[in-house]
Amino acid sequence: MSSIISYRRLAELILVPSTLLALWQLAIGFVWTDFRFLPPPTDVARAFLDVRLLAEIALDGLHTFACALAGWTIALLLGGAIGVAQGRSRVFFLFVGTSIEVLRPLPAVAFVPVAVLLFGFTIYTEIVVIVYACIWPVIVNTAAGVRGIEQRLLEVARVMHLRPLEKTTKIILPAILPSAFVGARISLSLALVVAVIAEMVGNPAGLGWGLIAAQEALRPEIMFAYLVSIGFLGVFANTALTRLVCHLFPGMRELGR
Amino acid sequence: MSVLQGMADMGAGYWSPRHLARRASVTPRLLLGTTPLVLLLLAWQLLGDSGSPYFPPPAKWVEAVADRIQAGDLVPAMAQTLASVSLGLAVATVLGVTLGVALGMSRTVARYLGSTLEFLRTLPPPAVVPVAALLVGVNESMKVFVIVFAAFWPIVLGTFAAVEALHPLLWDVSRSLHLTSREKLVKVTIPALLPAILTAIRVAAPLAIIISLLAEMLTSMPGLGATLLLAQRSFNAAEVFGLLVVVGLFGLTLNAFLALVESLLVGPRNLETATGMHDRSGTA
Repeated sequence: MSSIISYRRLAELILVPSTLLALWQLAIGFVWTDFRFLPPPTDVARAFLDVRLLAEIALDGLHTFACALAGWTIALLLGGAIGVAQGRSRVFFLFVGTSIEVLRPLPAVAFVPVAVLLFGFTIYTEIVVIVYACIWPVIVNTAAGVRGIEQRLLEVARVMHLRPLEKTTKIILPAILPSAFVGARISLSLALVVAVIAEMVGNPAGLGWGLIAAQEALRPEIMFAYLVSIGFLGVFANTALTRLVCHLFPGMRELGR
Repeated sequence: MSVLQGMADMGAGYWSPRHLARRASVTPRLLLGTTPLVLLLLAWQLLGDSGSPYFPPPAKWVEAVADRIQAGDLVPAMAQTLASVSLGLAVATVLGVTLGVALGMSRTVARYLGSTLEFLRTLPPPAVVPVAALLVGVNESMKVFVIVFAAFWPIVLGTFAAVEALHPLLWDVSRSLHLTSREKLVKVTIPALLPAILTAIRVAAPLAIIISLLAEMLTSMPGLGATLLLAQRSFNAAEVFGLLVVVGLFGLTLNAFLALVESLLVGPRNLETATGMHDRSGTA
């Protein structure tokens, strides 16, 4: 990838979005004049210039991001352990695998009322729902990774008389890293989405709640500002994770693209 | 081979002794696999406090759901959700396949629309629900709009990838056979893309359910989501747990139905890869 973008590429990148934005702006001025809840793009841009709102969005974003990260971390540890156990032991797979397949399709949104009932409108509700949603891709991908380990690696471990703990840290974990990373990436973007959902119906805080509050206050330009921020948070998290993994494990550059 | 022929073959294979034997060996394993879940529920039922406000035993769930059905609002709510989800999926399929084919066929389209689509794709569909509620108002078309917005992306991406992966030989063959463009569409393009499109619909279905439930929760429009939220607001724990099971069964049934359609149309051979793709997709 070259760092200099050609003019042609630049045109391809911005032509359609800028045309759409211009049409939107003009349409509000001339055609949809009675559409009072659709703010023109300039209003949304102006909302971002308001320092107080910006600070609020940043704080809300921090809350959402922190919750998503906390839930994601718990899901990685828990799901990773279950996934490894599932991949290593036939019996465990037989007895737990089916139960997991039954629970996995339960939509996380439907789980929010249960969590609210048990934990109230608190941050615990939010984190529990995030863990619930994030754990499935981690389990599925880790287990697939463990089942896909080269038989020879396990033979090496036996030949070298590695103890179970050493075998896990020195053979299994490095071998499943690529597929575990796939699961981790899927669940990180899930974590952010589910955090927003949980904030909308469960824990009144963060970006999701800010969006609802703006809707109830009939402030569409603030709502769009929140919407754009949520989008950018997602892109940021995904890029950060990919960069971090590429930095820590240079052998996995391929996956970063 | 026509679709009907395929269905007939499929039917014959389904009842063949070998297939029956394989199914018989799969079923006990499945049943055995659910034992922890069954034991947990049994223990909950036997040891749980039937008056508990937070963890009512499973028998109470059944009672609560039966009450809801008796009251006559659960079945219409479910029908409403099913109707929205189906309509949303249908619209998303038409739009998604169209855009996916356009992107796959033309480099120029793909290059110019790429940045816009990438940005729209990063917008989490749940965040679009309140925006749509304010812009469009709280009504059925808003609900269908947000469902389409969520279900659209997997279908676009699935179709796009399938068009990219089409073998160039297919076009050579249709050129040598002098197929008209209509014949090419009906006899070559659609059959070649069908497995991928059906898989994409199956990936999109859980997303559609989630967004439908969320829209119902946020706007109190009739549907399963609103029923669930109402139960939570009235602190009826038994009903909340019961409805959670109902929602789960709803999703499983829809998925099973789509899987059946898929196996009837493209044969069980392709189902293996389809399930693999389903596993990779993270659905909340």
